[in-house]
Amino acid sequence: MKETKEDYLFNAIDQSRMIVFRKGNYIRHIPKHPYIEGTEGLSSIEEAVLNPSIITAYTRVDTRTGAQSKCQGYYKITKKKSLGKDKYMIDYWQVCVIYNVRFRRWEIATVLLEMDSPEYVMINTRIEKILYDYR
Amino acid sequence: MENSIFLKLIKNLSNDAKKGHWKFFYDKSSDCLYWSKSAISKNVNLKKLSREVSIYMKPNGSPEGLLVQFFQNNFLTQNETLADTGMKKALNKSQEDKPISFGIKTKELEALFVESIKNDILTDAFRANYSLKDLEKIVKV
Repeated sequence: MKETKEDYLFNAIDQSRMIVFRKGNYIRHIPKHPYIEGTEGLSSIEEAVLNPSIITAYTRVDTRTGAQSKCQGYYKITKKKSLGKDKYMIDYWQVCVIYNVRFRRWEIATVLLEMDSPEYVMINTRIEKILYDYR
Repeated sequence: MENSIFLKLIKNLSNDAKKGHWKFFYDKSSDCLYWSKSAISKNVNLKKLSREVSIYMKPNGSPEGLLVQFFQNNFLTQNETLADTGMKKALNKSQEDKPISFGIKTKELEALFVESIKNDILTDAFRANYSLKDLEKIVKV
């Protein structure tokens, strides 16, 4: 990870340019997502984009303007626990990135750490398409 | 079924929201809707229960808020009654990190929102062959 005055920059497995988390956006997210705070949080974000379990793609439509944005989801499963009968509960990081056309770079929109969640909820198959599955 | 921990959790959401002074917040860049306090406690875990809905759970098993992903792009398109309340308009007018005001429609909207959340979680669970008991196991952890 690199740090500039304005941004945190992360190497991602599928990108030649580093993914950007604008510091303003990062700080704004901490009250709702306290686990991203500090060195540990930043390392987990890099681990998720550099060594993900799954990468998905989806399109986000601004319902006010109709403008479309290309988005990707990086998922890193960190724990898997059986509930019996082939059912599992997982812990995972989800990093959502949006392509900024103006700056021609991927920017982090949000980062979530989901805990003890059923496996089937991880990918929203209603709108996400799996690009890479490294599991 | 009446005694289901999961159904009780959903049923009590409005009361928890009132007690905890939860407000609605919308993050445009990630299309996430929050119904929570403005800052979440550090010892709270986020637990995803459907393809869109996650609940902030305290260590004692009570909720501290809700997060709905892909809110306008997916959740509202599947919950037309909720969309018809004029929620979209309020979301598009909203400012980052500022609570959204729904005015006199707040109570009606909260009730519809809770119902939509319940339906969303149960539909996804049953489609994945997870029973109410499985959901309970997950909620209890």
